[in-house]
Amino acid sequence: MLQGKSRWKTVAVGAAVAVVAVLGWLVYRHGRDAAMLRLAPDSLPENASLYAFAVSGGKGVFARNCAGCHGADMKGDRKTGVPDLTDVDWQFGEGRVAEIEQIALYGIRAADHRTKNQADMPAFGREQPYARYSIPTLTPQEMDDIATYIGVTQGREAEPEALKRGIALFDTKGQCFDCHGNDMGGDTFIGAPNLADKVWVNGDGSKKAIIDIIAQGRVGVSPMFKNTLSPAQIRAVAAYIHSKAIPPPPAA
Amino acid sequence: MAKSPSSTPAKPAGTPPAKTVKDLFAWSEHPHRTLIIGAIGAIVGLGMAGFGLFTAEGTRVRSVPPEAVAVVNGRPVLISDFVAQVEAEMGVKYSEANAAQRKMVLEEMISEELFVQRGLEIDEPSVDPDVRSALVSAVQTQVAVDAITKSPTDDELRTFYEAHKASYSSMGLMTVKDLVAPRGTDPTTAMNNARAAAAALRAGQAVEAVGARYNMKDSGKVMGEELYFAAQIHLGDALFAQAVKLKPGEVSDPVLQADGPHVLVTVTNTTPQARTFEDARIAVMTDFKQALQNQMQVNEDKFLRVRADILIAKAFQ
Repeated sequence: MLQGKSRWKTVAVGAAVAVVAVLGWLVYRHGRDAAMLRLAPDSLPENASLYAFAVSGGKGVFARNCAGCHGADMKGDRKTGVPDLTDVDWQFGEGRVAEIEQIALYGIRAADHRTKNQADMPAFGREQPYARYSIPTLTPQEMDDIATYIGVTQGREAEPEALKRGIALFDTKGQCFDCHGNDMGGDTFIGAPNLADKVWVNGDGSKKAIIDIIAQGRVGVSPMFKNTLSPAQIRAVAAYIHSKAIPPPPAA
Repeated sequence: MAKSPSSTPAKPAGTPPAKTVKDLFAWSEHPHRTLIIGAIGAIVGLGMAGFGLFTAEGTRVRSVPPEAVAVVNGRPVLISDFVAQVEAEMGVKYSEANAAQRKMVLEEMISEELFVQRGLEIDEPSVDPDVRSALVSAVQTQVAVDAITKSPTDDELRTFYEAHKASYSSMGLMTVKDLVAPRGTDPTTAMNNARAAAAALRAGQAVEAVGARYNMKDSGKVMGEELYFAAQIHLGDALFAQAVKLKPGEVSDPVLQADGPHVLVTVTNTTPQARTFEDARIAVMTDFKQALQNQMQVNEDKFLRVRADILIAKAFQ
């Protein structure tokens, strides 16, 4: 058994080794964070080692800050309009690390001039459909006709006259084309969803659900994390989300 | 070798020892040492303060943090923002932007940051109404940001729904025909015609035939099926109040308006039905957030007033 003095010596050496190890780990970690941050965000996936480092760090950040809405499986919730982050159908941008990072930093419709906040889905069944400027309300028949037109892209049959009216309304009074495009392809710059791809952020794509969206509008939001997460955490979570959006395998 | 005591001449008694040159420069011996140190300290301090105050060099950050592309007076310009700005301004992906484009954008961002900082220095919000208005709006949004981005729980939404259940109903819909006497018709004749028209309509005669017979025409205020709120806007409060009470097929008594007596015939009238929580969930969430935002803004206003020193002249209290 070690004598008193020797024992304290051993403890002191052990503590010193532990302190050095912890310091070493912190320095290593700081160095990796710095290297990750110095890259342009979209260059990160090209650096396998740093990308893996970022993805592993981002997992915990996501669990603590994003999973509450998007779910631990990142599948979102169509009842509340929270998008699926794994389906490569991006509402804003194309799913690049730089784009995801900007959303993590400044959010969607959050309180920063760099936030995503160019347009909202009006509530055509309310007295004042749009807060940004004046647009006309739609009658129930008109909303029904537009939903009929959109339903065709989902493979539903449509009565020809209703379809004709729906197409006209989509391009005129409803002003739907302005955000969703004449081809219903959407606009990922302003976050207008693609209406023709059978991927729904809100609801199940049924006629009732579409009419509800037209009548009540939608204003999706996401918090900004600029002031609550470090730059390294934000870069890491962006990389993690990027890594989970796996494109489907090419058709055989 | 020890010196012989006789080698040093003897000093007369009472004479202070002569100071050598070395003694004069010996700091510990300097009679004004405290004063000099104090003066040097004051000069250096004032110099540093002035340098920092007038050039911002005194607070300079000596290195650029890894997440930044530049630091402007201590405020970093993030690489992420720089990349986004290059892409937005140049319309190309960052990797495709050339060095000149990147340089140009960076210089613009630095200039913008400098102007923003200068704007704050010269208290621009007090001078420019647009800046002032934008600042108010920004603070209001900032205050409400937690409400905007909050994801309320099901329990919170249900509680809100129960407290405001009357607000959640299906859309009230009506199709109504509105007949009115043409402008210029003698008021008494117009009212008699309206009464006769109402009676004929109640007897089951067709609207068009009754209109032709009693010189009444469609007012054109409503067209087809309308939501209640739209019908109310189009008809006006008085006519809508009559219309909403009518069942399909019922006819109103003449309602005198500024443009003459009106007679309403209701074709359909679907009164609003209470919606279940599940059915109204999205509307409940929208209203919940709005209510929360309003509450937060009111609270912020109260908080600012409590901590502020506001004096109002007696005459204006």
